[in-house]
Amino acid sequence: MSNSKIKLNIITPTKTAFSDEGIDNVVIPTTSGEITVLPNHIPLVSSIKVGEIRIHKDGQIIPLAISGGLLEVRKDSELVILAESSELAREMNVEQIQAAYDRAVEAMNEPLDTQGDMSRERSLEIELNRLNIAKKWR
Amino acid sequence: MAVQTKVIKQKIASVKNIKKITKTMEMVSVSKMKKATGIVTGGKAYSTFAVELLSNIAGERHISHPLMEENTNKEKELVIVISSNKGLCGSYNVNISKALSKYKEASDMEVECLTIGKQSEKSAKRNKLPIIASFINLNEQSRVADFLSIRDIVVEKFRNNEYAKISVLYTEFINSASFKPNILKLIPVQEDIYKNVLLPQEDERRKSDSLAMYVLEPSAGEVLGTVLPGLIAHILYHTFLESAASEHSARMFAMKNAGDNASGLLDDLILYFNQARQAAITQEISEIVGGVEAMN
Repeated sequence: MSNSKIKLNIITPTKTAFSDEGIDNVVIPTTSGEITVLPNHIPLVSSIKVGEIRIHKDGQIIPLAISGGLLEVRKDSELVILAESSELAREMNVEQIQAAYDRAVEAMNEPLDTQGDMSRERSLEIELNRLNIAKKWR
Repeated sequence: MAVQTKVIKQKIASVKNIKKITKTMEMVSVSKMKKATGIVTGGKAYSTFAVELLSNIAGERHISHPLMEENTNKEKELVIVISSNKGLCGSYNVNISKALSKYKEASDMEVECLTIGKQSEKSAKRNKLPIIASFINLNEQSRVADFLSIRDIVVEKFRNNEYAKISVLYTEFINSASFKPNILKLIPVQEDIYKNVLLPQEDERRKSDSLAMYVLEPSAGEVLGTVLPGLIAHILYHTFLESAASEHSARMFAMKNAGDNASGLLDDLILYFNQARQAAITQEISEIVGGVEAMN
């Protein structure tokens, strides 16, 4: 059986961030490069890095920020994205994200405490990604 | 006598105040508990998919990962103790402390602690266990991201062969009236344990097609290397939220009891107050009557 549309679920540990059944294609930043998932893609599991997901639906582009995770393409055009966190660009508040980014930059200058270097750099990367996406799609 | 009524009046006022405070704390706890359980429910979908992915990759492909294997170190183990920052929540923290001391006695290894919450720090000290790190800034508004640094610490320590195993001592939230301390093995990762904690009900587990036909990119090992740390962080977050829900539920009951006791006390005090007032009036009358009689 073949479908001409993708059924997509983006799931974070706290909620389902996005769910739709009529998706044409999805562009995803995986750790081995950006890929586009079209309907009837072969079953695939891959890891996602911090970046931008672009969902194409009826000629429209729905952009999302993602801070890493996993994608799972199932048979019959079902796509599941397990994200650490993800949000729609249209729901983003640039001022709030700018503030979060500024905090992350500030944290880089503070002396090390219980939070490791890794997590500081990571949160900076995540906030920068959110900021870029929020500004780009404003 | 006037002195006595005044004292009782003051007591009544302070008990009324206490009752108001306990009532408020009870309501606050109810809403916080609901919030915590709400997040736990919201995370069910993630749990379902992540656990399924783990069992599919690890179970069917027989691929292993260092985080799923025993360490050669057999002398030390780490327990992550989760409890509250604040007191006034009945037996919640005492139960964790008791469970910790029981666990310490049963273990044939040296036990070290990583504590979350001020009260667990105290529990560890009471049990004379060394604390390697303490986190006190987490609450039910914390996000998964806040648990990544804890995850990184324990994963690194495990991979450096510092501990034979790493467990989590938390309070399992069964429903709003019952919760109990529970200990679960975090690392080495065991699929069954994770499944039981994240998805206690059998029907929540989704049956899916075998992953055997899937293409895994870049490799099965690397996908597992992303799934496992993600799951560990998720388990930490999940157990923390269950503990938080239990804490608020425990506080809710403690405050309800305190409020009920205050009501009882108030009834008694009002009775005493009326008795004292009546006695004062009787005394005053008999004094006047006595005075009138003396004048005649």
